Amino acid sequence: MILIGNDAQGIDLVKSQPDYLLKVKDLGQLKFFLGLEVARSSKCIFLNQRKYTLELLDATGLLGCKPSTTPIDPQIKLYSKESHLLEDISMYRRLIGQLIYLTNTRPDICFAVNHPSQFLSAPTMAHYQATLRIFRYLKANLGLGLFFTSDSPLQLKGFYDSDWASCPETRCSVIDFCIFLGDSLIS
Amino acid sequence: MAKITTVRLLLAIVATKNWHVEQLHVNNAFLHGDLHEEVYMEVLKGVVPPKPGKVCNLRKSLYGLRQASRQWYEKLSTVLIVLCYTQS
Repeated sequence: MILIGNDAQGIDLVKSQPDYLLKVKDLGQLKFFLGLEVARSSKCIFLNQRKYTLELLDATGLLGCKPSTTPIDPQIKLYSKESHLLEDISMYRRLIGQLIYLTNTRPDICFAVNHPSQFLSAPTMAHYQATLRIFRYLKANLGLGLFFTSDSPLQLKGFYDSDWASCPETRCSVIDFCIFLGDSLIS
Repeated sequence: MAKITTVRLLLAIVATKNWHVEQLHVNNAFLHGDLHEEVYMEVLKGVVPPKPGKVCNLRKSLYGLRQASRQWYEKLSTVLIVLCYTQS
């Protein structure tokens, strides 16, 4: 549970209140929340999932893989049925699920994760290779995260881009967007 | 349940406004939930039931139950409402 406010005494009051109803433990300053590491200074807040990424690489046995500088091959187009199905489909789904959680602080891998996640029902070797590529990219850039600076204006900005009819199977366009509050990336 | 986007948005505001951010941990959160359904559990190994062939009738939620997270959410919201907070 996170408490946010501009009144330190008020926060102390809130903290003491639920004590007689639920057993709570005060963890002080927000540092680690659901895999998100929060670093605070007077100038900024920095969010990352370094520990989560490391554990992920360790659990998948990819700590020793060759690092890659990009998360996805820019030429690649994934198709639904181009080769044999993977034998261990649930492993593939688990990997994608973990990567999707990682996109919380890693918008740089958003597209690379989304693309192979469209084939969860029938993944093939090509999809698996694309997924491994993301892990190799993660290994090269473990500690990247989101940076919220304190001197950013409270102004909402939205950007979007679309690639007309770029999906080779449905001829649908691929659209993506990002929203900033001042200089901080939010969505 | 708060979306992660909301968490990010709040933290971004916190950074600009220089607010305080603190964290609380609820011990054994899922054990607080009350059960509305009838749920039975086999007696654990090592516990001797008063009569053989008996099972346990659960009154509070346990980890691993389907409704555990929902019941915890309900408990937390009622506690906060009792403490005169309003839900957005």
